[in-house]
Amino acid sequence: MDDLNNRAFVDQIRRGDTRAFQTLFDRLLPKLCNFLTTHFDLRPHDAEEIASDAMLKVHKSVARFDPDGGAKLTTWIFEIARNTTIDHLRRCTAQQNKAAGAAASGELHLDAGAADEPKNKTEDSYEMACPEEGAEDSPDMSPQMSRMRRAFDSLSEQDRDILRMRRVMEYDEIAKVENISTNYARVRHVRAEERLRAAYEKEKKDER
Amino acid sequence: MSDEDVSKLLKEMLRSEHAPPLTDSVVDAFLSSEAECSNEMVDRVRARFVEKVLADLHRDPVKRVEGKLSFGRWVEQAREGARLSRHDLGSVLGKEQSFVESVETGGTQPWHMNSGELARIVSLFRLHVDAVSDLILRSFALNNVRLRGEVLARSHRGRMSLERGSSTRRALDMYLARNVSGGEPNEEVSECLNALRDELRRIEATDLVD
Repeated sequence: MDDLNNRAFVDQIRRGDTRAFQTLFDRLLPKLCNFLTTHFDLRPHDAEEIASDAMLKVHKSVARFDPDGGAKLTTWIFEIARNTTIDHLRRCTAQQNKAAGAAASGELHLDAGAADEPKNKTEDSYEMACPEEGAEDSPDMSPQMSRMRRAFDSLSEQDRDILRMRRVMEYDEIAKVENISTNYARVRHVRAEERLRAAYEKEKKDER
Repeated sequence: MSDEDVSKLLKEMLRSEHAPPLTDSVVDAFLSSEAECSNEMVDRVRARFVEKVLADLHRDPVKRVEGKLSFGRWVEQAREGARLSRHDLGSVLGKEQSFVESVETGGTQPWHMNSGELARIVSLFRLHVDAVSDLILRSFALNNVRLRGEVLARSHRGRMSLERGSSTRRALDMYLARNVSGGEPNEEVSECLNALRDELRRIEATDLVD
């Protein structure tokens, strides 16, 4: 997949070359959809809807992608898909809470369109908003979540990577990618989890 | 906190807006793994993506068309303006890209399509039936003139590549479309437009008819 991040190919995509975009779509979508269904435990229908929304955002904003900006094109696209999923889940939770609240107060208003975006509604131009490394506590973050984020940030890059990979990949897949044995992949993951737990407990202790 | 609770909290954090951005190394690993979703799923995502791109193109029905284009060339121009390939458009129509090419180049004329196919194209591009009528009448007039044009192109065929051939044909179509007069539709064209209106009403695309 390295060829998808090749500078000449990225420039073709940025110029609006339809064949290049079709190639990107064909090669990336199978992996992207798999990422969405496994990482977020999405139902296939939801993953499809979110993937199409994410690719729409990519299609609209790829001319502004900066190949010298630090991240690869494929990483940029996955991050758009991740953020699109989070927005979708947040909207679903808000709608469920609203419905639950309305039901509890006896004022349930049925609105068939509430759960779905109108088909012709589109997002405004998409600007990626990536949380900064070592983010400060956001007002929405519970103390536990904030602690977990700080603990995660304190780990080595290798530990962070394997904890993320394990969300989506089996040990033998990780082993193949990392060029290590399956058993060692399992050991690395277990140790990363242990270090995370220790870091979490340390964060908790430091708060007192 | 138990090991299980820490694992659950980690999972929750990584799925939330509080997770740090994905890194190149992690995404590269995802891309290297063999697991992927099915081709059928990708096809459905592509079709849905194309629908959304086209929905963005014309939020209001297109009642008048600029320029003097045939139906197929208008579709081609709109598709290219949306930066979509023929394969993309084919995916949302449930057709091969050769069908799209045939529609765009006039090989398949609108009055030869079934009303469902025509209505699907028309509704995707948000073309009002008045605009469709103009385009189809131009296609009809062009089709009558074009037969002579194709003979001329064929005589130079030996010196032409496929690409030069298709761009020559496009230029010829545009020249003829600008210079041919609209004319009156025959029965076939009139029936096509009536069937289109009925089909658009049936699929509740009434804003493209009224």
